[in-house]
Formats: sequence, C-alpha cells, structure tokens
Amino acid sequence: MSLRSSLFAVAALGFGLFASLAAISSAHAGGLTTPTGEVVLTVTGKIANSNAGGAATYDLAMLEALPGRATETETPWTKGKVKFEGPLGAALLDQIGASGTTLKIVALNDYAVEVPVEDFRKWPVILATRKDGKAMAVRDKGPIFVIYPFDLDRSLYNEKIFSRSAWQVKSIEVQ
Amino acid sequence: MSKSSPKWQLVRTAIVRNKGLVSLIAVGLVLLAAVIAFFHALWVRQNSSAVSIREDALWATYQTDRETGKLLLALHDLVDERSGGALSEVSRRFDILYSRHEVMEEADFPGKFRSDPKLHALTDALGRQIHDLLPLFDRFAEEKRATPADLETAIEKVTALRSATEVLLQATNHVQLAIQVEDREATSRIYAWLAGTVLALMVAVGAVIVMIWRQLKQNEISRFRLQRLSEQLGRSVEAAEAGNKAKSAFLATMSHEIRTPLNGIIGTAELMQTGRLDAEQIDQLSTIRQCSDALIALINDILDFSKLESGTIDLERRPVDLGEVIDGVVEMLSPKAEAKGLDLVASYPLASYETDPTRLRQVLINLVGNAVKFTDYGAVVIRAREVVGFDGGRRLRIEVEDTGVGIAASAVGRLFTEFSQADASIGRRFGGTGLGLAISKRIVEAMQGRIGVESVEGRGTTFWIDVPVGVVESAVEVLPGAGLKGTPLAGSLLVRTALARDLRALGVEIVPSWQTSVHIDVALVDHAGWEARQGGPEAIDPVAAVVYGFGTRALAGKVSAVVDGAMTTRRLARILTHRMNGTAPSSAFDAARPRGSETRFAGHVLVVEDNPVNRKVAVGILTRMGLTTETVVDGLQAVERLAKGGVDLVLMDMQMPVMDGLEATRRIRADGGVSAAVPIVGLTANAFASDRAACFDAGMNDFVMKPVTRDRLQAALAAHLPETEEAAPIDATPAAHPEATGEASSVLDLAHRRHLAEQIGDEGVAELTEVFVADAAALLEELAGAYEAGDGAGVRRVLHTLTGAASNVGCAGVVAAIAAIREVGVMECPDLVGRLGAAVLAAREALEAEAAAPAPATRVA
Repeated sequence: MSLRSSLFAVAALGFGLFASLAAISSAHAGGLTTPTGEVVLTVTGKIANSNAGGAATYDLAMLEALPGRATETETPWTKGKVKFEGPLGAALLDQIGASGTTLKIVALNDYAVEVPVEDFRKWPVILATRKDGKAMAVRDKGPIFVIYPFDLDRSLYNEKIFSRSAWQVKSIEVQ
Repeated sequence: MSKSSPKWQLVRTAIVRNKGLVSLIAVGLVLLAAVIAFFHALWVRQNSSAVSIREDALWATYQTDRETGKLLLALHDLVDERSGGALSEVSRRFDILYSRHEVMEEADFPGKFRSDPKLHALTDALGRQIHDLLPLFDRFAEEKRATPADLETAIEKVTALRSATEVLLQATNHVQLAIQVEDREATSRIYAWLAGTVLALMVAVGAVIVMIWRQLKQNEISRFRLQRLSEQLGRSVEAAEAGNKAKSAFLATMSHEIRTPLNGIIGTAELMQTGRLDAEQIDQLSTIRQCSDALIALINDILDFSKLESGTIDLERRPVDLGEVIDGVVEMLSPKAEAKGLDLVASYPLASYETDPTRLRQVLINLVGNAVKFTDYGAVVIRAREVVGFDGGRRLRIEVEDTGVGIAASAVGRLFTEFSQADASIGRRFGGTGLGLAISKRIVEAMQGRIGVESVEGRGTTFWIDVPVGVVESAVEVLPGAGLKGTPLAGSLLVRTALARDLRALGVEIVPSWQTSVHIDVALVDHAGWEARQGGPEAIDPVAAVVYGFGTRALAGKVSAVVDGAMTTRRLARILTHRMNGTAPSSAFDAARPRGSETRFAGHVLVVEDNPVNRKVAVGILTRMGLTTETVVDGLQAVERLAKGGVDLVLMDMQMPVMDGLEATRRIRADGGVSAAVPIVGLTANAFASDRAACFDAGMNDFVMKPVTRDRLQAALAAHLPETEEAAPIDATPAAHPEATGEASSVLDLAHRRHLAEQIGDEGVAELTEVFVADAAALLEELAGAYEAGDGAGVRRVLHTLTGAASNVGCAGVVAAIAAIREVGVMECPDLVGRLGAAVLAAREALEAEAAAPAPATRVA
C-alpha cells in the first residue's frame, strides 16, 4: 500500500509539475481566453482569473486545450471498458487560480456534490469530455463527466468516489 | 531411527496417559479451524461486496422517476404560456431522462435486480416507452418548435411514463429491502455459527485449562509425595548407615575384646608347649591351640567380612615376590596337609609383581585351606601363571586344584555367597563359617579380578583367581636347571604335571620315565614313591633322587636332596642351583622347615601393653630370647620412660587406655634425642593395609600380628637387635623329660615351677610368686568377709581365683586344700578360712625356703 501511495505521490508530483508548466505557458499566452463556442462549464467562487464578470467560462475547445489524460476503465454506469478523455481537474484549477478547499460541482439536473480540492491534487482526476473518442451528448451523460483514475487505483472504486463522480456537469463553485 | 524411536515411544506414552487432554486439544484445534473458516467466509463476503461495489439501483430508479417528473413539469410550463417555459428546457430534460434511463439499462446493479422478472419486465416496458418518445422529442430539437397537438401527446405519454416509473420505484424498493433482509440474515447466520464455534472453542479451551490445572495440581502433589518419599528414603538410608556403623563398631569392638583374651590364651599355650608336659597334657594343649586358632580365624573372618561389607577395604600395591607369598601359604597349611597325608605342591613363576601381598595371601590361604579341608586323599596343587588380559594388561592367574570330594554343579552357584557351604552335610562335617569364599570373592573383586571354580563331583575341584598385577622389572634370570635332564616320578598325574612344568621352567630337559636308558640328573619323587621303588627293578639312583614330601627328613644323606614338606618352585630352584654349583643341598631343610631353632638376642626391651596376661606372655618370650625387659601399661608411661634412655627396642601395643600406641610413637619420634631413634615394633590385632600403613606413618619400624608368638617376635626383632648365639635346637617332645611327671611335692609343684622358670626365667618366677603371695593375703581377707556374710557365690568366686593363681605359681598345697574344701561343700566347712590360711602359709614358707636355697633337684641336667 505504501508503495502504491508513493507511486501516486510521484505520479501526482509529475502531473502537478506538468500542470504548473502548462499553467505558466497558458499564462504567457494570455491566461484564460474567452469562449468562442457554446459555454459548457462555468467556474465561480474563489478564483484569481476570470473571463465573464467574476466567473470563468469554458467552451469545449478551451477545455480540450488544457493538459489532459485518458482514463480507460469500467464504471458502474457503463457496460464494459470505456475510454474517457478530458482535461485534468488540477490543470483547470491552476488556470483559473483557484484557492479554495472544496469544489461544489453542480450537474444539469441540479445534482450537487462537494469534492475536496485535495482529490484533484492527489489524483489525476479528469473532467472527461470525450467517451471512446467522441464528445458526449447530454443523453450520453455529457458534456462533462468527472472521472477518477480507477485504472490507477482500484481502491477508488467505492460508493464515496462514485457519488463524487458527477456527470452532466455544468458548473463548479470553488469554496 | 533408533535415536528417534524412544522419543516417539515417550510421546506415545504421554498421549495414551493424557487421552482426555489430547482429545480436547484436538477438538479445540478443529474448532479453531472452524472459527478461522467462518472468519474467512465473513471476510470474503465483506470483500466481495466491496469488490462488487455496484450502482445503487434504487437511487437510479428514483433519479429516473424524478427526471420524468421534471420533464412533465417542463412540458406543462411550455403549454401554460404564463410560466414562460422553453422548448429547449424540455429537450434538455428529455436528454437527461434519457441518460438516466440508459444508466438503468446498462448500470452494474446487483444481480438480484437484474434477475427479478417483475423488475425486468417493468424496466423493459419503461425503456420501450422512453424509446417511443424519442422521435417526437428529436423532432422538437430539430424543428425547435412544437405543435400544441404534439405537446398534448407528449404530456400524455410522459404522464404514463411517470406512473410507470413510480411503479418501478416501488418494486425496486421492495427488491432492495428483500436484498437487505436476506443479506442481513445470511450475515447473521454466519455470525451465529461463528459465535457458536467460538463458544465451543472457549468451552474446549476452558476444559483444557481445567485439565492442565488439574494435571499441574497432580504434578505438584506427586512432586510433594516424591519429595516426602525421598526424605523418608534419606532418613532410612541414614538410619541404615547408622545401624551399619553401629554394627561395624560393635563388631570391631567385640572382636578386639574377644581377641585380647584369646591372644593371651594362644600366647600362654605357646609358652606351655615348650614346657615339660605329659602326653595327655600335650594333647589337651594342642586342643586349646586348635580351638584358639579356629576361634581367632573365625573372628578375623567376621571382622574382615564386616569391613568388606562396609566397603572399607584398603588395597596396597607394592612389589611382591610371588614365591614368597605362595611359600608362606604353603608353609602355613603344611601341618594340616601333613596331618591328612596330602601332597602339597606349588608351581609358579620366579618373579615379582606389583599387588597387595596381604590380600593375595589371605585369598590363597582360604582357597588352599579349603582344598586341604575337603580333600582326604591325593594332592593339592597350586599353579600360578602370568596371562595377558583383554585390555593388554598383565594378570596373574592362580589355580588351586585338589583331588577332593568335588562340588555338585548345582551347588557351584551358591559357593561365593555368604554363610553358605556347598552342602549342609559337608558344613556339619567340616565346620566353618562359610564366609571364606565370600570374603575371597569380595577381595578379588576389589582387586579388579575374578574368581571362579570348576569342579567334578568326586573327582576334585579347581578354584582359580585372576587378578591384574603390575609388572616389576627383574634381573635376567639364570636357569638353574639348564643342561640337566630330569623326570618327575610322582604317583598322581596332577602332581607330575605340575612338577614337569616346574622342571621345564627351570631349564631342565624332561625325560619320560620309561626311557630307562637315558641318564637322569634329577628324579623328583615323593616319599612313598621312593620307598616303593627301593630294591625293585625301578630303583632310583640316589645321586639323582630328590625326595619331597612330609617326613622325608629321615632320608637326608641317603639321597641327593630332600624337601621335607611341600615341593615348591623356589625350593626346587634352590636344589637345582646347588646341583649346578656342586654344593650340598643342606639348606633345603631350612627352606622347608626352619623349626625348632631359636635365635637369642641381646638388649633391653620396653613392653608397652595394658593387658597383664599379654604383658606376661611378651615378657616371658622376650626373656627366653635372652633379652631384659621392662613393662609399662600405657603410651604416656612409655613416652615418659623413654625420655630416660637405656631402651634398645620398644614393643608397643596399638590400643591402650590413656594414650594409644600410635600417638605414643608420634610423641617419641617428635621428642628427638636418643629415644627418637629407638626401634618401635607395633603389636596389632588388625592385619589390614590401613593399620599397617598407620603403624609406619606414626614412625614405627615394624609390627607384629597378635597373638604374639616366638616365631613372629623373632622375625621382627632380627632386623633391629643384635643376635648373640645360635641356640641349639630345642627338642619340644616331653619324652625327653621323663622325670618331670612324678616330681611334685605336697606343698609346691616343683616340676611346674621349673617349667615356669624355663619360660620366663628365675626372676620372672620370683616376681610371679611375690604377686601370688600378696594376692593370696588379699583373697583370704575377701574370702573371710564373704563367708561371714553367707555369700556362697562370693566364696566360690574367690576360691576359683585363688585356685587359678595358686596353680599358676605351682602352689599345689593350696590347690589341694581348695579341692578338699570344694568336695565337702564350701558353706559346710566351718574352718574354711583357717584351713586355707594354713595352706597358704605353708606355701609361703616353702617358697621362701626355695628362694633362699634353690634345691639342686630343680635343675635339669
């Protein structure tokens, strides 16, 4: 277990490093841009950067420009192994300069769940935008699906994490 | 395998002994295994539910139902224009509902939900209804507008859907509850089993604990019992040891106490033997001697045995001339063999060995003594030879073979046990304690040797001993018989074989007796053989003849050599040496029997002895040897006397009151000066090596075994005092003094007094007489007192004492007067004291007259 945790620590460090590098580069490129397509995600709360009057809004292209990861895993809600792709939650938080400890993730059906920021720092949790390479429609639990790296740590496969795995995400509030 | 098997044996025994405990432990182990199994089952169950973490079907159903409700609300909002609903909102709601429904179809619900047929049918129906809605809502999304009729249809269908989801929700809830109950029941069952098993296990463990506790208690009890038993045993051992010690002390004391007067008897008998006695008296005296000897042998046996039994046997080890030991034994037993007319022959290597001579002699005396005792005709042969033991060590094997009655095979086993003789009838016939062989066995075993017997009943017996000995380097031996031709002509094969062996060992070439043509240098023949052959065709050349056996002295001068007594290797060697040197073998007599001669010494001897009789005997013998004497009664007096000087030798008893002989000797040696160098000869009744060592350790020069006899004293004194002259052999036969018998006066027994004077000298007689006169006066007074008091027993006792004292000094008148009074009856004699007084007075007068002018008649020509 300790080996596994240290592996994760290394992995998280790797991702963290990667994410901060990405953040620096994106800051160089002007930081947070303005969405050109349909807004799929709105981040509010304790954030440093915003593009829409105190809120950070994202279209699909902006999200997919962030550093991401592919998580190929089984979930309780799908049949067989599915490949999810999307930006790392940590990369998004870095881009907007989030400073809170909790994320209140709200779905289209107003389902809200609180997720510790720590989760995004500890594990490479992605805000999946693609399932098996295709963008996800609302009918297919799109447009954004919070996916924990079940493929890296089997112990994440439990009800607590399932409840944090919100789908049809529409907004995040950093608290 | 052989190593582990006794261990397994132990384990098996332990299992059998603790059957209950072992089976309980087995049950406990089984239960423990069951508990582990149940825990495993629980863990697997827990784990499997963790691994098979599934989506919550109820939640999903509820979400679907809720989304259906929201869709319906959105549709109503759209229709009701006041509420400002949007078609896009309706589309989104449908999309969400659709995604929900998809989850319901695809999600990983517990198997129960999927397998429940009612639930399955409901879910399928729900799916169909939602799929029915698809084209309608797809058109809404595409066209971005909806006709009121379409909306009407939609509301109707969604309402129907809503009631379907509600039914499904309730059904799912039921199934969920059933699953929960079932799950709880299954878990409860496992827990119940687990609890039962644990309970059983606890009972088993409790029982094991109880049993172990009981066993521990049992152990403690048996340990306590064992301890008590060992304490008891210890006490018993102590008691037994104390008893044994008391017995040993008793035996030692008693034997000492018995031996002291016995030594007096033997010494006195010895003295009397040389006096003038008639034939009857000599016979009686020899009976006294025999009885005393037998008695002292018996006491020695008992003491020996008690010492051996208590394990206090001391062995010494010093170079010993084997021939000297065996010849000593032969010499000792010769009189008995002679009396029975037996041939006695000893054959042994002429060598020295390291061993205990005293013990070896003791065993041999016993074996040879037995052989002589149980043999009526024929011979007793002692054969010794050196053998090499299994360990390569040197051993001495000595066999004593006889032609006696033999021992039945059935009796052989009992031979070496205490107080048993081979045959009760033999025991009666020959007497004896039956301790001899048991003692011999113990001695031989103490010497790390073996003892055994081979016997054919009626044909003879061979006792043998086999003891380890040390080798003593000896000078190269010259074979005295080298170059001589010889033949043994003994009548018995047993003796002939032994003699042939001896001759051969001494270098003589053996010529068979039938080869008459060969010249013979040495012909060994016994007395009877010589006599039988004389004058016959087989007559032996007297130049070659060596005649041996008892009574052959008469042939001296008629033949080449005689050995008057037993033939032994040393004697044969001496004769052969003379033959080689061309000297006359006259000393062969000495070799056989140095009897009848007496050495005289010069000097002053201090006799230290508490017992008056022993003192008298010692003084008598010493005086006869030409020595002057002086007596003291204990060690302290001896020390004081020696400080004054003028003593040439001390004869020191070991056990005395005030100060014993050993302590006195140590003091004398420690005092320094002239007396420190005076030779001291100990007198001891104990023949053990330890006593002997104690003598020498204390500083004594020699010791003499009690009873003190002339020969023993002579042997001891020879080394320390100058000899004056070789006295003429004294003929001890009474026939030489025929006049002695009739020469008694009425008052004094002159013959007896003369005899006494010969033994202890005139001064000794005078001294004894003085003692008697003084004693007699005291005794008369005592007698008068007892008579007046009417004490008959006292009168008789005084008379008894007076008789003894009077007869000792030869006052025949007094003895006769007492005898006359006794005839009448002591208390019937009113003039008793007067008559005795007259007799004593007469004796005194006669004695005084004798002292003043010794009559010439008292001197023997």
